[in-house]
Amino acid sequence: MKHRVISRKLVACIVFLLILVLLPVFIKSPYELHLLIMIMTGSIAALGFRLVYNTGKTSVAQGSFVAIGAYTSALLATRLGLSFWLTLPLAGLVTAAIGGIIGYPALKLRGSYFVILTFGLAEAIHLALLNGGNFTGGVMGITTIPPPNPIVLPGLASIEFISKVPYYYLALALLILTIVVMYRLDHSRMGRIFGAIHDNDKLAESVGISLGMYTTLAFTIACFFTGLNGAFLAHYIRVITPGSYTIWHGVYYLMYTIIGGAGSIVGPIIGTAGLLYLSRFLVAFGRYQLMIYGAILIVFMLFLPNGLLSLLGRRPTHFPGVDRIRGYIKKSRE
Amino acid sequence: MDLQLGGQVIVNGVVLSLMYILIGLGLGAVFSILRVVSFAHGVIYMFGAYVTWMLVTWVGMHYLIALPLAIVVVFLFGLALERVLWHPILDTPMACLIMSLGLLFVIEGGVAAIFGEKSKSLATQFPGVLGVGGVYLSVERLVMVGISVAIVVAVLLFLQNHKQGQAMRAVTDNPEVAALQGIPVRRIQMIGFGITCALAAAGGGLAASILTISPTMGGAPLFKAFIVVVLGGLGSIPGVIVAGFVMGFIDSFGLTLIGRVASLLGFVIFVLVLLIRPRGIMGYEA
Repeated sequence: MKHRVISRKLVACIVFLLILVLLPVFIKSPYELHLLIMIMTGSIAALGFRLVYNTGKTSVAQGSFVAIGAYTSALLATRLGLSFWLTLPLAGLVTAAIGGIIGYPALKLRGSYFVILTFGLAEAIHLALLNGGNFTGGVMGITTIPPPNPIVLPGLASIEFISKVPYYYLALALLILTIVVMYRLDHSRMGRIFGAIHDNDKLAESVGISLGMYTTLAFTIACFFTGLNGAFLAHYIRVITPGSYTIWHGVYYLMYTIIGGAGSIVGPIIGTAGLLYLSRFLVAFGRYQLMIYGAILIVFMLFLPNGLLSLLGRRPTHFPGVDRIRGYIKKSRE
Repeated sequence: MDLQLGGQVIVNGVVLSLMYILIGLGLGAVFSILRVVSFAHGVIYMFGAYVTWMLVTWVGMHYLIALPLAIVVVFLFGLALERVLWHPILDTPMACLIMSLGLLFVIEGGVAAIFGEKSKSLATQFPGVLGVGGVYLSVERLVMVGISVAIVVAVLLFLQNHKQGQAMRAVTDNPEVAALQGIPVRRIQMIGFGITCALAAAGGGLAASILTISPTMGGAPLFKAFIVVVLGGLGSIPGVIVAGFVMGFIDSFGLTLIGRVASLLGFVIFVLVLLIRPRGIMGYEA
């Protein structure tokens, strides 16, 4: 029985993957492709946020780690002329290293203190990039970022990064890599340790789990993928300024994750896709867009604090409305 | 640095410090009373500034009438916010924190939608410059210093002597024991939150008279307030006052001596305090 459930899940994954791979064949509009790419990159950062969140730490600085990855890759490519295929992993590693160095002392802080620290950190990174003089390009940032070097398959073809399609596949590849690593993490001993820390860090420590080591590890891994995402974005958008990724992007990633549901890997992806597609319709509302986003976040925190996915859960909640919706979902399944 | 410049920098430091103290006191009090961190404090400050601006420019009130009125309006607004948004989820501090981020978006977006993104400023309310021994201070700033000192003292006296203030301190110490003494904890928390909003609005209203106001003006003071509150110790009022002066002078001297990069200095102190002594100068263990 258990075996069947897993294989059904696997089939669903493969079908979904096939749809994603074939999507550019049917969707020709660059705007739609751009939206899909942004959903995929947003999902990577949101998944990073989720990993940290699931060890009991809320970071609003993830947007700034995107900036660090983007700047690293952009600087390496423009100053040293390195190939994108080299700067991409390097950006991930540098971001992970910075994340680890900052994270080790910072993650000792509990609850609200850590959030405040990441808030300050995001502000400091913004200020540092802004005042970096010639090194970071100041307010203007870096504007001459080259596109990724073409992939040459000898005798077959050479893939040039001109249209959105190769970027789409690159983003998809990065997203799949992130999902696979996150999935393996969730279902490993380490994932259970993260869960234990999330549920009760003092209890986890009392049974011999090193809080400092594991929370730093989670933070470093999250920063690695966030950095990869930043490098991709730098070479996709090809302009990076201190204002590109600030604390508000960190808050967006938080929103994507919380609204989708941090309990599962699908949650942040659903949250990102949902909110970004919503933003497409909200364009009509212009200035009210931010307000609507905020209102959604408030409503979720008040009535559905564990995100959309918690609608599928079984345990009763405090909210009769949520339980009623769950009843409908159950009925429609039967 | 010569004596004249030194005097000027000190005077500016005092003005900045009082601003930080006003906002920091409110932010710290939200934490003491509700045990949650609010990211919406900066937008409440901004909201206070806009209400003051609106009363002066649209209604045509005198600034000294508009400011208290704005404080009262935001106080009532704060009461409603606490009742509707914070109270239902007070037992999960992280949900409160994330909700406050949503509220930040709503208020900032709302103000931007109503008043536009462009920054505005009030005409000078109290013209004139006072010069003593080469140190210049506009009368406007002097009035501002006077009002903020009065507000801070009023809040301290309220907490020290007024029955509601004493109840508020009891609730900050231990809500359960306070409830056992017959203190209506829910009501005290609501009023307390209203007062924190009023303090933010006072800061905003005062800022409206000397600075330009814009929907995003709350970000920087919120950051400074966090530094002040963390430096002073979450939950400590004397700590906030000391830290407010420390930060005000660091900013004032830093800006004169080393320029724009000085804003990073505050952050460095902030991180060091958080890492080495998270309870700050005078705070208690969380």
